[in-house]
Amino acid sequence: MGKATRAPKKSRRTMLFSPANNPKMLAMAHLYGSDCVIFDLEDAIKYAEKDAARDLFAEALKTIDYGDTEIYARLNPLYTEFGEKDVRVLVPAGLRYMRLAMTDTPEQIKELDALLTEVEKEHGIEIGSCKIQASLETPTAVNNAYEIATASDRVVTMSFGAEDFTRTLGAERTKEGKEIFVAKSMVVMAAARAGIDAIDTVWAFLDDIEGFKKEIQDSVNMGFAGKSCVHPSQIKEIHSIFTPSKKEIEKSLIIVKAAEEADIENGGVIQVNGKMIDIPIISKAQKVVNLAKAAGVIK
Amino acid sequence: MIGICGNEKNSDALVTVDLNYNGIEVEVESKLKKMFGKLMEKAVREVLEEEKVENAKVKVQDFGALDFVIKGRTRTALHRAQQGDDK
Repeated sequence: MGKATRAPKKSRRTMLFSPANNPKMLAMAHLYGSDCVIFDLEDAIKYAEKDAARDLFAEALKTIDYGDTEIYARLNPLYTEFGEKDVRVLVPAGLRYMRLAMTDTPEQIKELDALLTEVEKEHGIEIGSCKIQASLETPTAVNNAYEIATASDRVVTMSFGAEDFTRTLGAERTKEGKEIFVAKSMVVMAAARAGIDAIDTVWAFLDDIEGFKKEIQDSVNMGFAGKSCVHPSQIKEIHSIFTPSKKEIEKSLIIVKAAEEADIENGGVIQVNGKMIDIPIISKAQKVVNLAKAAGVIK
Repeated sequence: MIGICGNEKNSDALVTVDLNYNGIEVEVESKLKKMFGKLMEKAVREVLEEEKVENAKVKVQDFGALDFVIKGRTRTALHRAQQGDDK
């Protein structure tokens, strides 16, 4: 199996945003059932409250058992006075996943990588434990997507942010999304080449449920591993579309089992229920099985 | 040198740290003081100890905050007081 179809360690169907200075959300956000929660230290927090949000989040990390939910910090950029301090306070408190907003170049990833290595060494944390999500939000970032994805082994996901992308492109964001289709495809392809997860942008039109469902299905069809969301009510819908159906899982399990028994890793075809099955179909079936396992649908 | 942090909102606390004080004093205002007052004071004292502070008067106005909130608010209020910042 290629790197792009390897078994995901963790399902990342949903990434729920929450401000990092809200005590109730710090204690409760993971209970809404999203696979990941991103506590925002950047845009959602006023300058005068950056210190309070950081300290509050640090205490939450030391105290709260977030279970299987992957907890991210949306860091302030390292060129601000807050970014480095976010890392120096939150990593010793237990933070292991961080989203780097407005990642335009691989150099920004390398800078964060070096800082993380320094902090991990200082606190006796295994080097490489801290992982990065690169957030691609400009045409420059999308053009550099593969270089960003491969700038460090710490990069485990890449997300696409449509609002800043359309703003910097000078385009109008529409429900149909034609203006972001090419960029989204470029992000998914770069992530697939690098063997990491691509996470789709948020759906901003909260009252349009049918449009939301269509966009989630498009995300799945394009190859995204998950979708960011801004409200807990969006989680259920995203999970239902991102999780393979029972029928798909059953069919895929039969194909994977037949492929294992036939041992055709290096090519060839097998027959399953009278149909010819080759390597690409086996890879897709394996991906479905991996997704179902990661989502906890099968063991 | 006084530092303040927090909000008068549900699940939060407003913490004031005054470093112009001899020794440690912790004052808690809470509807739940009888049940949780000692735990709230303990949370404050733990932060002061971690930060190696020996002189401070801390006032906690609690609005239903969990321990981690009191600790976070105390730490920020303390740092603000140490910076001579009375935000």
